[in-house]
Amino acid sequence: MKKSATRQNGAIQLILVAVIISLAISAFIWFRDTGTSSRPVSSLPPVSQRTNPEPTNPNRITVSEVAPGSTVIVEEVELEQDGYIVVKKDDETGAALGKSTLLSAGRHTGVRISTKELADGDVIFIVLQSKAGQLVTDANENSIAVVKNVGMAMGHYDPSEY
Amino acid sequence: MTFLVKNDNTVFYFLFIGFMHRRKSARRKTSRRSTFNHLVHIRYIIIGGVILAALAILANTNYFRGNSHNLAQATTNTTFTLSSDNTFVNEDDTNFQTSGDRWLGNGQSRDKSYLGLLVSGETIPQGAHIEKAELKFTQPNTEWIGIAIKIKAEDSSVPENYSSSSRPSSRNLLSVNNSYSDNVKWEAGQTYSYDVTSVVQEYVNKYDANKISLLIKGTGGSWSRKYIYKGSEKPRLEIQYTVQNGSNPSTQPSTNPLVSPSATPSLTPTATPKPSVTPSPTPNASVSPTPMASVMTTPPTGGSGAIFGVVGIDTLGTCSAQVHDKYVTTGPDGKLYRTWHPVKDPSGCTFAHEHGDDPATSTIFAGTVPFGYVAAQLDPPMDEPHVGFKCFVHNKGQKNDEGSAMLHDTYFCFHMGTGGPARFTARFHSLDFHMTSASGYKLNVQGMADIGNVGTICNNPRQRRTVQGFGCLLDSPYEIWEDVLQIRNKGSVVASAIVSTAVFDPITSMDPADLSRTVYTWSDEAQQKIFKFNDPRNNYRGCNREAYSGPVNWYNRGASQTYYTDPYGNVVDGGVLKQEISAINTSQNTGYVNQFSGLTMTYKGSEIMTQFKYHKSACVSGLGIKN
Repeated sequence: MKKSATRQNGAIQLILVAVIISLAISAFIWFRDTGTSSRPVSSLPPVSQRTNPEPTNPNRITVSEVAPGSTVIVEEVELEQDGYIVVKKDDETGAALGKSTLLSAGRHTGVRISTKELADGDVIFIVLQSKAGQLVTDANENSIAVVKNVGMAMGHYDPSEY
Repeated sequence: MTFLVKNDNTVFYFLFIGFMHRRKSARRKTSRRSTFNHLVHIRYIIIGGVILAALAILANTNYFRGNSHNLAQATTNTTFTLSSDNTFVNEDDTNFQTSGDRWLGNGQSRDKSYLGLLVSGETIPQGAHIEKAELKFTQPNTEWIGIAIKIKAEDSSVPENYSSSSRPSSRNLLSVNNSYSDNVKWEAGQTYSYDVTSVVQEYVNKYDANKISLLIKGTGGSWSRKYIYKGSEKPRLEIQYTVQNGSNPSTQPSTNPLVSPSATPSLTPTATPKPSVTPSPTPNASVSPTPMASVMTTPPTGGSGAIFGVVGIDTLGTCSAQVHDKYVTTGPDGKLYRTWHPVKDPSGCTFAHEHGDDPATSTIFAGTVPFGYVAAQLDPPMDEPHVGFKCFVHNKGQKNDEGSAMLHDTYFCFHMGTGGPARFTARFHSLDFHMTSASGYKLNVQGMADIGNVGTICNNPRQRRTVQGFGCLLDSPYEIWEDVLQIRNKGSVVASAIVSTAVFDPITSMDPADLSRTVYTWSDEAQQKIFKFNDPRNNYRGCNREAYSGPVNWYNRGASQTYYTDPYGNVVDGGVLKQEISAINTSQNTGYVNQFSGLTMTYKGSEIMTQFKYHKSACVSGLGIKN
């Protein structure tokens, strides 16, 4: 009697364990799916893999953010010949707001350019200029320029716009 | 019930304890306490199993998903009607009318014309959520005249019947109003509706409602009115609302962002049949709708599960926010964005805004365009008004009204609305541009396009963003922007996509002295300070457009076809926008090349054109003044 009771008890336990395991698997899948759906999945590659080729043109300029004020910091500039960095208003042919000292051919970093007061939302073109005062262009006759919106990206829309 | 919270580990705790007891008991086979241990572990296992079973059931019923509370809701539809003559009146300055024909809009008086509607029905408990409230008119005669109105509710728990000593103009009003301006034909026997959801919601937030006094003030010119009753069917208010069961409605403030009592939406006409939008054949009213703050359908958060970008309910027309929220797509960042949709939803409702051509009609359609994605990548993210996204499809072989045929395939969606003044100061607008040349070269780029400075056509030099503005007398209201998106790698242009977008019927005009002012094109002020001709313009909805594809240039010979940039098109490692640019130069022999000035897009006779122009109106009835 004792033996058969023990076997019966064991069978019940086995069934219970099987049921619980299956339930646990279901719960795991459910929790996993729930977790996945709440996380946006980017179709872009990871940031570290988003790399770019170097431009072929030997004249290069890199500027990150430009804050309101009277200084533009050029992170890095490479010049094939001696020249200047010029900050222009609105477009590459606009009024000059500031100009670097004469830079020798080669690579320079952290170049600070004093400018007229730049206000939040101003649009500036940071261009390269030859020693003779000509815009430096590439083989396609496009000027080497970086366009920047000063300060915050731009005025955000008022709710009445919607 | 805390164990029902998502990701709660209590279930696993019970299972773990159960199994630990089981393992311990196995090690203690000889123990005199084994029977007790069996009982303990079976108990824990059973508890764990029961919880898991409950979880599985709840999961299947979507119990957790999308609900922050577990209160059931009952939806009720009800209709409030007019009971007597004294509940349905017109007021026109000193005149007060409780019988005969009734009208909507303005009588002789421009500032004291009212339609008063005191409607009654079953009691809607205070705090109920108004899903939808529509004021419906069954038209006695076919009429076609522009009207402008503002609808508010009276601030009274028991509004009295109107009388000559208690006129609509004398009533105290709540703050929310719905404003409409339209110039469409209403057909005899058809029913037309105005959405008054937020007005009714404000009332129900404050009072139990079995009587609501709606005051509809004419805000247009003298005699800009429609007769809405000539002894036949009276207006009615149809309401759909929900009351949370298990809660005391009177203590539940509305949590629906649609119906914030502090907001004052400006709504658009919602004619349900199909009146056509063409100039009114009847005397025209010069209507000057008042711009008002909109109520948002979605908080501007974006992110997981939420749709990026807010949408004013005054742009939704006869559709609900839920219907509009169907039109979403996943952006490259994995978040949800709104996207193109037809003006008329298959359910039958009509939106009060349009997005132009369906990008899916492009022969090179590369996937749904996520509206607002580019500006969302700015830091901080910017939310460009949804209604401004306009799409243009130019397929190869498509002929324009000059008989010129497009040589390549392009489609693009650009942000250009004319319903507000922000465009006079916002210099960068998002552009999502796709092109495949006849030779198979690709240019799929996106970014904040530079549209230059603003000015009128009278400005010298002319600016890239030419609008109509005070001080420049014109025959034409034409507004055109040149939208330039250049991908630059450390200053060198890799590719350049330029499009021009134009409207023949801008909704607003510019006051150069105050660029933040909203000046409607049909306003008296605009008529006096801009237009030589005094023709009616109150049907302008910014929907009659033309666009130019090009000039387009590649400067990418032999280089990578993929770049990552910031939102302005500057190539940066780790950039948030992916650009696809074929590794060619337009100065190569690519088939149709006009060196340096851009790829040849079409021929006008024998003349090489680097732009392909295409005029197409997207105007339909029901469009609002934010489009």
